This record gives sequence, C-alpha cells and structure tokens, in this order.
Amino acid sequence: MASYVIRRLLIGALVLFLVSVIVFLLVRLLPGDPLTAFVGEGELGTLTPESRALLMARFGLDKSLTMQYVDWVTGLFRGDLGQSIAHGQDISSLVAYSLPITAHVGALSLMIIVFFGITFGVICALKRGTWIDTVLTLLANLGITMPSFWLGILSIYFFSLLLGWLPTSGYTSPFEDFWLSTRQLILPVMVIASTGMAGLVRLGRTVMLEVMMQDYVRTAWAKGLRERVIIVRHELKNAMIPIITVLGMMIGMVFSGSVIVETIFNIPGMGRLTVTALFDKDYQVVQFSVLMMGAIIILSNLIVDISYGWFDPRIRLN
Amino acid sequence: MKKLIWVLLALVLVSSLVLSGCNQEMGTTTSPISPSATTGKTTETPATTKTQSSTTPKSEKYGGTLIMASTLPVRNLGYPGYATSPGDPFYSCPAIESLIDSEYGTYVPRLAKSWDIAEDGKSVTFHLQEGVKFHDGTIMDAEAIKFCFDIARQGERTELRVVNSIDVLGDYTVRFNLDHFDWTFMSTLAICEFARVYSPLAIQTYTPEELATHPVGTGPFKFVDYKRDAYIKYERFDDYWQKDADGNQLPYLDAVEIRMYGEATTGLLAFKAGELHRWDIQVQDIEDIEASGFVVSESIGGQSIIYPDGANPESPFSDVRVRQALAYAIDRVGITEAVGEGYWDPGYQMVGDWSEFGYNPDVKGYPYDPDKARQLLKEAGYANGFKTTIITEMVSDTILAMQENLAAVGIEAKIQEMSQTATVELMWNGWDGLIIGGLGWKGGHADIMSSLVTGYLTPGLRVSMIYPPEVDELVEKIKSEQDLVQRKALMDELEIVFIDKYCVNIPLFETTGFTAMVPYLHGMNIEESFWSSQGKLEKVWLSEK
Repeated sequence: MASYVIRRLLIGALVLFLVSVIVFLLVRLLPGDPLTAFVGEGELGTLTPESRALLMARFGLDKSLTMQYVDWVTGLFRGDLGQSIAHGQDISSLVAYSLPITAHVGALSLMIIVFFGITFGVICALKRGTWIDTVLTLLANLGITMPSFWLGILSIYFFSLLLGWLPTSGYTSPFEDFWLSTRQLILPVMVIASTGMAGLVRLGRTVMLEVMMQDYVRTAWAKGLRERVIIVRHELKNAMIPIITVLGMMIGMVFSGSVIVETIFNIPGMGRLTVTALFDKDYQVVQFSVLMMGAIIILSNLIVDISYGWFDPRIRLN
Repeated sequence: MKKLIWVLLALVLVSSLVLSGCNQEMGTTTSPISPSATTGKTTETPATTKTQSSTTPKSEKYGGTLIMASTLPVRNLGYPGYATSPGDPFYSCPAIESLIDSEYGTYVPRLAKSWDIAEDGKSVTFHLQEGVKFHDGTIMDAEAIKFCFDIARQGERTELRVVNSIDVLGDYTVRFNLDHFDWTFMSTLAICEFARVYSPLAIQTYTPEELATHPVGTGPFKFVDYKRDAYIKYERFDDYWQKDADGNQLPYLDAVEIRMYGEATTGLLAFKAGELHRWDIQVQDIEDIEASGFVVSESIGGQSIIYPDGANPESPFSDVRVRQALAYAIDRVGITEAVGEGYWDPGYQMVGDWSEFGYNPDVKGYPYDPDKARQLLKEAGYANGFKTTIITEMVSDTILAMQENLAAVGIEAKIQEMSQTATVELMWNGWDGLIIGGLGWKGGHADIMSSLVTGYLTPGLRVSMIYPPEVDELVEKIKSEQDLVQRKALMDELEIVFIDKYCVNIPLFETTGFTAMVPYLHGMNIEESFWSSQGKLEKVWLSEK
C-alpha cells in the first residue's frame, strides 16, 4: 500500500509539472495582458509609453517567458506563491482568505450531494416503478440538464425577489453571524449540489438495481435478515465502488463549479478569485488556482483509490 | 416503508433548522429597502420623483446607511501616483476628495477654494480650504498637499510630469510650478483618482498595497472595513469640514457600504429585492424599473466612435473621401431611434450640443446620405466597394445595423468580436479596418480636456489613426490657451478641421447611462456627478432609514 501511494504521488507530481507548464503558456496566449486589464480601457488609453513601461516593470512582465516561469516555480518551492497584479497582494494572503470560504461552501454542498444523492438513489431502486421512483428520476434528469448559471439566477429571482425569503447573494462567516450565513448559503449550496445530487441519484439507482439482483443478496433475504441490514451491509456497501469513484470526481467538480456559483452569488471564494483573475489576466493567480485545482483532483482520486480497499476486501487482499 | 419515514423525518428536521433562520429579520447588510418595505414585493407604484421637498425638517435627514454596489474591480483607492482603474473613484468617493472638481465643462472649488493661473502659464497657485482634517486627525494644509503631490507626480501615472516642483507659500497656499501650462493638468487634478488628496501620515505609515484598499482622506466618511470581492464600509466622519446651507454639520448619513458584485444580473436583482439603494442599469431596464416604483436618473454618458486605420497607406481609409463615405453611410438617426429607445442622440462632431465649451453649430458633419457615400467611394476609386473588418467588444444590434448600412453602399464589413483587453491591445499596437471605441464623458460634469485626451490624445491611437499636423497644432494650442473664450474659438476651429476637413474619426452616437434609485434617496444628484456612481455623498440623505 505504501509503495502504491508513493508511486501515485510521484505520478501526481509529474502531472502537476505538466499542468504548470500548460497553464503558464495558455494564460499568456490569451489576448491582452495584465496591464490592459489592470488599468482598464478608459485609463489605458491615456497612459504614456513611459507609464506603461513603469507598470510592466512593476508587474515583472518585462522579463522573458522562461525567467517568468523559473521565478514562479522556484518561488513555489520556497513557499512564495507569487504576487497578484490585480490586487497588489501576496497570493498566499488571497488564498488564505478565499480557500476556507470555498471549502465551507464545497463541504456543505458535498454533504448534501452525498446524503441526498445516495439516499434518493437507494429509494428509487427500492421503489422502482412506483410514483416515488418516477418523480425522483424526473427531478434527477432535470437537475442534470439545468445549467447552474440559469438555476442560480432563477433561484435568486424566485426566492429572493418574488418571495423575499432569502438574501440575493453574499457571504458571511458563520462565526460572525450564523443565521445570516446559513440564509446566504442556502441558494448557492443547493445550486452547486443540484447537479451532483442528480447524477448521484441516477447512478445510485442503477448500481443498486444491479446489486439487488445478485445471488448473495437473494441469499441474505433467504437467510431472513432484516431489510435494513441487507440494504446497508450487503447492497449499499457493494454499490459504493462506482459511487465513490463519481464522488471523487465530484470533489473537483464542486470546486470548479463554484466558479460560476460564487460569481453569481457574490461569494468571495477561490472560484470568484479565479474568474476575476482570468478576466484581469492576473497570470500568477490563474496559474496557482489551476495548479491547486489539479492538486486537489489528484489527491481526491488517490483518496478514492485507497478507499476502494476499505469498501471491498478483495481489493485489499490483491 | 420505515426507510421512507426516516428520510422524510430527516428532511423535516433539516428544513426546520434552516427555515427557522428565515423568521428573523435580515442582518444589517441585507435590510429590506424596497419601495414597499413590509413584504419585499411591490404592491403599489408610488409617484416617482427626482427631488424631495426642501421643507423636510433637517433632523430627519440624519441617519441611515447608504448601500451601493458595482461590478468594477478595486485596484488602488488610497495611494497617490499608482495606477488606478475606472472603478476606483466610485469605491473611494466617500473618503477621498480632490483639489478641484469638474462641472459643466469648467472647474469648481473643492479642497482648493480658489486658484490663480500665472500669466505666463508657468504656475498655478491654489488657496486651500482651512479647517480641513484627514480621517487620522492630521490637518490638510499646504505641506500636506506638497507631500502628497510630490509622490503623485513621480509615480507610475505620468500625467503630472508637467509639474516641475511644488512650493509652499503659506499655511494654506501652495504653488505648482509647471513646465508649460496645459489644461490636462487641471483636468487631471479634477478627475484622476491618483491625483486626489491623501493623508501624508497614512502614506508614511502604510505600504502602497495596504493603502490600495484602505483610503485615508478628507471625505465625509472614513474607512472602516474592506473585504475583497464583498464590500468596503465607511462610517461618518464627525470632523468633516463642510456644513449644509443651514449651518448643520455634514454628512447626513451614518455610514456608506459599497458592495462588489461579480455579475450584473445579481446586482440588479439585489436592487429590486431591496438590498441596494441604487444601481446602474441599461436602457432596456428603464421601463421595468420605473414600473416597480423606483426612480431612474440619467447619469454618465459617452460617445461611441469609429476609429478607421487612416494611417495605414494600404488601407482604403487612408483616403479622406473613403472615411467621409463611411461617415455618410451610417444612419445614425435610424439606429438611435431603434436601438437607443429615444435616449441616444446622433453624434456628428467630437463634442455634443450639451456642451458650450466644445460644440460648434457650424460643423457640417456627415448626415445620412448613402448616395453621397457611393459617389465619394467612386471618386476614390472604389466604385465596386471593398472589404473591411469591424472590430468590436460586443456584436450588438447597433453593430449589425451599421454593417447593413455599409453593405448598402458597397462596403462589405466582417465583424470581429474581441475582448476589451484585446481591443485595447490593438489600439496600442495598430489595427486593420475599423475599431468601435468609446469616449467619455458627457453631461453636466464633462471636461472637454478629458474628452480630447481619450478621443484623440490617447498615445496608442497614433499607430493606426491619422494625426494631421494641422490637427496636432490646434490641439496643442487648446491645451495651453488659458483664456476660455479663445479656447472655445480654437475648439470651434478644431471641430471643423477634425470632422469636416480630415474626418479623422467618425462620431456615431451620444449615449447615456442610467442609474436606478429608491424613491427615498435624496441629494444624490447623479446628473451633476463626474462619475455615474460618484456623488457628493455629504449631502445625500434617506427619508426612510
């Protein structure tokens, strides 16, 4: 197991290196530069060549591409994440502020996805063919097809504007005002969770139906075990392998999906930081955000792979 | 069956936990402020008024928190000389003031109560307001101005390079020694964020990065808190230097909060839901907003312009007849009526008729005349037309209409949509064809010099747009002509040369911005503000707190 983990980590490091090169080059292929985004069209037009040169030097854009990459990577190894051009701050301070917010929203969304997605998927399988199955499957199909941007705006319009039940947007730390924080997060968490939940319901239903047809399940019924024991210990546990695989992918999806939701709901998390950095051509922020996303996905996949062994002893023994 | 009951029970518990929070009033940052304050829904349409009766008892003006918002980013709110972006004046306006202001094309006092321009134009002496304090308690005097502007003029922005030195002549008298007189110097002092007045103590205490989001100035409100991508908060500055006409201490408001939205639609919904007191809107939203009981005010406007690559010798637009044909080919009146919904005006010269300082009624311009356009193209050797490209940030109905107009006279224009940064990049490095650009600003606050700067003096445009020596000479004279009557005469001459003779670029439309406000917000005076969202907040008050 240890050698497996080390091997996966080494491969992950190689992947991250490739990601760093690709994102470094790609972001610079986009038209424009941080200067034009920083100053804005209205004021950029009035900049003299001298002003422009001073700003390029301040942002380190006067160096060669190779030197910019080397400076960035060596800085990462020193713990220096770089400087944001747009915000004029260390990226570490930006991330220290934004990452917990995204983690908060993401964790809540994942909890809802896991709990309701698996629960409803199991219910659909157990009640297949009934009106419950029909309704839940229909909702799941809708959840998958509805784009989060559209769903977000619509939910604000309905729950905030028409009904006046919830705030339109914003984020408050739960330690500052727990109830305001909760009310502000209801809509964005539900929007992020909707797609994940829908996918998990459909997958859960399919996988549970397969497992329910297995011989060992029939044996368990024949032995007279209680329904709850059969579902939890025999059916659900065997259905978890593909579900965990999808959940691992969803961790990346939840963090990347937060890009749209955080922008719509005005949540100052990593997603919003990345989006504005992209529009601002804030190279170092984009580079670090993508690299961090890659690391999260690699780690989550690794955790998923390791967890297979816990759920399926056959994998452990092999 | 039991499973279903457990699941439903869990749902009920979670729902009750969540919804229990909904019974409480919204927190201080989201207090409902819709026209109908009881339900958040509009149940009636109150009469919309732009001004409030002046008989309101002055005590009722005090109190309340003004909540505004923008989608613009924050760059530099509090350090002189560093680059800023268009949103910065808005976010810093509660706290930062300038030496002078721009109103209706001229300059008016602010922190400087008067000024004298030397006859030779080599210096401008400002006489400062007395008794003005910075938020940190220090005094705004001549030494403070010198300190602040010595940093500003040596910073990244070079507009103040015309200032050679700054002398302190007395406690409240300071002289800027210029290399030569240039109206853009006065324009810079009036409208540029980096050339405002900041506390020297704060500059010496904090780093530029800290001051970028922590402005310390002389404004009616002092900085309280900033959360990136969320808000910036200010509270009333009790030692503010201004009083109202009755001698009452300003400002009226207790606090100002400016929120930052990533998405304009969210901002609009927040405004309609009662979470904001004002929001900038598009022309197509006016009817809906007014029907909902809000007030709509015209705000900052600008001009839409076509920049042809006349400096490119291989371009058809290097021939003045082709540029004139282009100008004749566009049906500005038809487009403004169809797209502008009655709020736009056709533009035929550099400055619209809203300005006495720049508009020349003797300019012929190029009213819509496709036959004339075809004739000019034929004379220029393009009887069969030619192909070109329209570079724009957004393919709108206006662009499509213009494409049709050009096609009708034989100019086949392909539309190339590019991001704003890419468009600006092209303006700096040169382009082929036509670029649709903007020009600010119009209205009561507009400053002719800033219009000239953005529309003509922009350094990057010289790569592709023609700059006839005759035009250059006139512009230089205008910049340094102290006598406003003579300056107006030079502007009149410039308009004729720029438009009728050389057709350097093609003005299209005078556009207008709009700001929606709740009816109980008073004193904002959007029309008189330089920036659409930048009001003189010291006189703003809420009749519903």
